[in-house]
Amino acid sequence: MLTSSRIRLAFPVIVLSLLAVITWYPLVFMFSTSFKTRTQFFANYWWFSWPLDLDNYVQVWPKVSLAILNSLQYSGGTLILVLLLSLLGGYAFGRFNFRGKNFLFLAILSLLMVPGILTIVPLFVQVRNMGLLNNPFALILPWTAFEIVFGIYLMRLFFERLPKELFYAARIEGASELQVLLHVALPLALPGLGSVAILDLLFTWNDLIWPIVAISDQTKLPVTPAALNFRGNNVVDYGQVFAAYVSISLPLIVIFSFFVRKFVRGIEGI
Amino acid sequence: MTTATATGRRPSYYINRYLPWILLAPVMIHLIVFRYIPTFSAFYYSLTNWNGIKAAKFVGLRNYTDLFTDYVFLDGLRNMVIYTSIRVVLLIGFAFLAAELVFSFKSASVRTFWKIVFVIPLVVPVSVVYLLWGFIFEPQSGLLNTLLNSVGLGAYANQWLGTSATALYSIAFVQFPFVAGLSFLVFISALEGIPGDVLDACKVEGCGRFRRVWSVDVPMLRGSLIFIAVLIVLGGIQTIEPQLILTRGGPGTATESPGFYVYRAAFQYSDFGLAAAAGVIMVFVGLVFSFYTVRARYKGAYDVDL
Repeated sequence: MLTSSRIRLAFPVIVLSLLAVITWYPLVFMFSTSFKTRTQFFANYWWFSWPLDLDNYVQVWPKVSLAILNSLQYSGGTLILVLLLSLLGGYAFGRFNFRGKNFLFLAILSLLMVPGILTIVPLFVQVRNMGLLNNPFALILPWTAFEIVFGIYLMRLFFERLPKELFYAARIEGASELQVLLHVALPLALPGLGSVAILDLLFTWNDLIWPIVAISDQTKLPVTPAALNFRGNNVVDYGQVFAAYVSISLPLIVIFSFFVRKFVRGIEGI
Repeated sequence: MTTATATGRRPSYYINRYLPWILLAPVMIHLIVFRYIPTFSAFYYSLTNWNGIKAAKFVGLRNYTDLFTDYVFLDGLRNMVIYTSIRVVLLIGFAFLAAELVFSFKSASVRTFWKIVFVIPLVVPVSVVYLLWGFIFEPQSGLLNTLLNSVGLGAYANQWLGTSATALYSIAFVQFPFVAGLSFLVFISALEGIPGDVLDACKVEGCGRFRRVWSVDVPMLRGSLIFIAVLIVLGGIQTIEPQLILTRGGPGTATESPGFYVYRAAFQYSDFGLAAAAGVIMVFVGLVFSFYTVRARYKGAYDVDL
């Protein structure tokens, strides 16, 4: 019997499925089209065409792989620096009391109110005067400076939640402060660093405007701006274009599908 | 073990004593070079006439008066308000709806399934999202027009991005996750954080689902709702991706934005002073807005901290 309570149970599933279809279908469309030849695209628009045609991927791979390697280099370099500096900063604020602590912390946090668009011009001039344009560090150093602000904030909260006795116990056992940092704080900090890493990767992988400004050499672009170069002018082979978009999106999707539960919890924890 | 005494202090004493400063030194040097100096120099450059190469010449407030008489910039500000308002309603609306529906399931694993469904699209690169929406709006073989034609609504097919009347609304609708992943996650975790006895009390009082959403969930989620609204608005003020990727501000000035204005003034016309001034105005808009929202945030009787 179709009772009213059954309808009430089915209602969320129906609406959520609809939302999921709207959210996912453009992605599926991109994926299916990336395996189509031009004729297949016009013959069968909405769904996969068999046999799958891998030629689009073969065609775009040289350029795409270059962009992915660039991105891995830039995002990886930033990630290492961000984790290191967030750990140091967060530990200093979370574990110690020192003069000027509150002032310094507020000074760092207030940077959250300064949007990237304000500093883009002076930052460009500065990076140019340092001779870094078209160099990986033109992206790595400014990106790091943007990401450590929130990183330090998160790591401070994280260290403050840890019981202080842990650190005292290690000190009484005769460990030096540096040993405490390396052998007590660092292992405990890993979940917090995970959240910082997720936010940092999302930011650096997606940044569009700063790489466009700082990197003029097209072969050195990371994936997000490089994706713009696959658009044809007039005659567009959508199969190839979408094959490029799919390959550009894949690395991050693969990384995140391994950590998706952690990712969900990490964001909920913020 | 040796311990430091008052008379003969070992080097480790000083290392320990100044450790916070030693730890913070690299952080502060990095922030000074790449954040503080650019921030303060932006305010200075906004008062100069400067092409980025020759010495900057002090011109007082002229860049600001230029901006407020430039219709391109003014149209950009107007577009920014419209664009941002649409996105606040749209993104919060869908994310809140999805979060409430997922919250209505009892089973934790069912909830996790739906969370994953709506969160994965979050990691598709932003430029790919915009490019894909560029294709959705594409007049000839784009998804939207093809869909309209195939269901017999071909009369409504349009040059979505090429017509002044629709271009701004079209870019405001760009977001694959109609259910925006981040807002959705924040809402669902806030809903899960509502104390069980509040929900029980609500049930005992006999309130239905819609009554509960309106009288319990919305007030309890006030903090999260405002937090997400602030993020969307601050993002809206800085919007530049749809212009860079899809419209270049056109047709005419229909989709101009202040962020794109900054980019063009600096990197196409080499007017660094004007670009800096436009950036300063955007910061003020953001600050004024944040001030009022944060004040509203603390007026609430119920609050759930993020």
